[in-house]
Amino acid sequence: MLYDLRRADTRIKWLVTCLLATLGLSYVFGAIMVALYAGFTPQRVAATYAGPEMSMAMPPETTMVMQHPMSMADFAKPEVHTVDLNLLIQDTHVHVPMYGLIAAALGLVVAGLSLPRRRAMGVGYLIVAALALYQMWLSHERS
Amino acid sequence: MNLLIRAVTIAALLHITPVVVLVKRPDAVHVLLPGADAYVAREVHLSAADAHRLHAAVDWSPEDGVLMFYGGTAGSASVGALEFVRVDTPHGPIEVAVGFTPQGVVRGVVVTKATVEMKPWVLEAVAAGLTDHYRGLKPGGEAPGGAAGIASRVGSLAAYTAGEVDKGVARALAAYGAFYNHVRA
Repeated sequence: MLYDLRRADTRIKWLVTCLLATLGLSYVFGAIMVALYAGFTPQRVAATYAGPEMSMAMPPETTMVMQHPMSMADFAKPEVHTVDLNLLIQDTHVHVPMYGLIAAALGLVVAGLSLPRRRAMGVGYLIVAALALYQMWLSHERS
Repeated sequence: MNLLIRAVTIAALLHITPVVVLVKRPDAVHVLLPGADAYVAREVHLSAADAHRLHAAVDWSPEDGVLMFYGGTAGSASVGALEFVRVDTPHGPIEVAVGFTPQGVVRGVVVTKATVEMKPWVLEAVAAGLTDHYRGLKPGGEAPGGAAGIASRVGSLAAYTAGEVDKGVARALAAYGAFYNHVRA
C-alpha cells in the first residue's frame, strides 16, 4: 500500500481532517443555498424550475404603457443591494473549498516548521480560516 | 490529489461570482438625468408581436416582457430618459444604464453592476474611455462600437466586457427607438 492514513503521522491526520471539515462546511452552506433558491420538496423544485413558464402572464394583445411618478428614494430601494446574506452564503460555499486546499498546502508548510506540533497546526489553520472569513464577510467590498 | 485539485478548480470556475454594485442607481440617475427634480416610471408591456420584433432586432427579451423607462423633468421641461438594461454573460450579469437627451440621442452610459469576476474588466474598459464612444448615438443609427474603440488600449478580457456593454447599449437604443415615444400611455 502506497499510503495508509490509519498509520499516518498525527500531523497528516490533522491536515486531512481539516481539509474534510472545510469541504464539509462549504457543502453545509451549499445545502442552505439550495434551500434558499430552490428548496428540497418536489413542489418547491417544480415551482423554481418550471414555475415561471407556467405562471407567466399572457402578453397584452397590443403593447400598453403605464406611468407612475417616482422619487429619488425609489431608485435606491433594496433591489440594488445584491450582495446580501443569501449571496454571502453562496459566496462562502463557492470559495471555502478553495480555501480548504490553500489551508492544506499552508498546513504542510507549517507542519515542517520546528514549532510544537499542535500549536503550529492550530495557528496555521486558524490564520487561513480567519483570513477567508474576513475576506468574505467583513471586507470593504461587502460594505 | 491532482484529480481533486482539478475537480475543485473546475467547480470553482463554473460558479458565477456574486454581483456587486459599481454605481448606485441614484448616482447613475444624477449623471444621466442631470438637473431633474421629478421622475416618472414608464412601464411598456410588450405585446407578443412587439416582443418578437424586439427579440429579432437585438436578440433580447426584457424580463416579464416589460420595458422600464425612467423620465426626468426639471420644472416643466424634460431632461430626458434612461433605461437600466441587464446583459447576461457566461461570467454572470452586468447592468448598463443608458441615458437619452430629450432629442433622443444617447447622453451617457454607466455600468452600474457587474460580478466580482468582471468588475476589474469593467473598470479597465471604463478607464480606457469606453463610455465616451456611446455619446450621441441615435436609435436606428450607427451600432455601438465601444469595444472596437478601446480594443487597442485594453486587455482581451476588458475588450470582451466592452462588447457585452455594447450589447446593452444596442438593446437600450432598440427599445427606446421603438417604444419610448411611439406608444401612448
